[in-house]
Amino acid sequence: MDELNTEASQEDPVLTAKKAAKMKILLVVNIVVIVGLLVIMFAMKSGYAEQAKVAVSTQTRTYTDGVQQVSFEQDRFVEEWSMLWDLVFQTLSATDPSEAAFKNNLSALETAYNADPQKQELWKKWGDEKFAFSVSSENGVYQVKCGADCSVSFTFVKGTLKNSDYSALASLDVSSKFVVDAPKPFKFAE
Amino acid sequence: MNLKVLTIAATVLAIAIIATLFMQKGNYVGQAKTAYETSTKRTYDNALYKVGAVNDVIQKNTLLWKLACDAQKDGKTPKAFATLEQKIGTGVFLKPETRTDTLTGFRTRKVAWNSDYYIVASFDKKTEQLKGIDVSALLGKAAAEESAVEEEPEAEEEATE
Repeated sequence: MDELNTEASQEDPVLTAKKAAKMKILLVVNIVVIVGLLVIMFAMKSGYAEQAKVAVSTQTRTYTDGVQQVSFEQDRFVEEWSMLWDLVFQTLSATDPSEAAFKNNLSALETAYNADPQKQELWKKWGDEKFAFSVSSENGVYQVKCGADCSVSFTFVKGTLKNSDYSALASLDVSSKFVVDAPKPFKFAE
Repeated sequence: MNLKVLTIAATVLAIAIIATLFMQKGNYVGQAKTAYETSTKRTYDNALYKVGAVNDVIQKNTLLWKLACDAQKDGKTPKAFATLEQKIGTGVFLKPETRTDTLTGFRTRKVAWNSDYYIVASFDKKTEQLKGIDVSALLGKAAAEESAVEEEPEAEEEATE
């Protein structure tokens, strides 16, 4: 036991001092690394926070805008679609089946509709001055549309209504026309 | 000895910070994903309900419009009208309400699929001819003269169908 104590106490003081110096250098290096890492960490933290904020707001807005567009198109379609049905109904129930009466009826419906201040506001909000039927005519055949796949034709022969075809309007499948898609998966890198 | 312990602790701390550095991105991604999903799910659910409900109104009102328009050609009598009604709206339309308009004396037949959307066909009681169809409820302009009509006796209603 005495021998061991003697060995320990006899450790080279120069060697001990060298070891202590190395430890000191290592500790200093560690501290520098830690400080550096902390700086990087906080810098990246604010970067990530900003990136997350931008990514969430951009992607949420993109999705919300898409949904609002569907809703807007549907609302607008409902107005045009209702007016088109009304035109068909008024034309079929009119006592005067003449082409002139049809034209008068068409513009009377537009005028009555556009006279409503609520409707005026609605169409202004949608970027249009007012509602107007989308009509094209050729040789007494009038095509009135409310969108690409929604139309009605009125056929006049010698100025008298002979046929009105509203089958496309009646068979329109809006459940596949106005669809709200589920949100896309979130991407952080955007 | 203290120096040795301090050095080891500093090394462990440095390694821990490096690990945090790599983990913090995942943390932000997770938080952002949750925020995005919560917000868009709410928008999606609301829009799905609204757009779906409007689509449903369009589909069902189409049947009422079709009935009103077809009736101008093929539903000039109460019987023909009821036949058209059966053909077009079975399973969608509610039981029609048949009444007598106290002002005109016409027999009216209200066809609806809910309380907001309906058409009212009027027939002359004597000639049994269609006198007109009120579609104002389909245009959001429901007439408020409900009080001007009275309930038709049940037997008379059945006879009309």
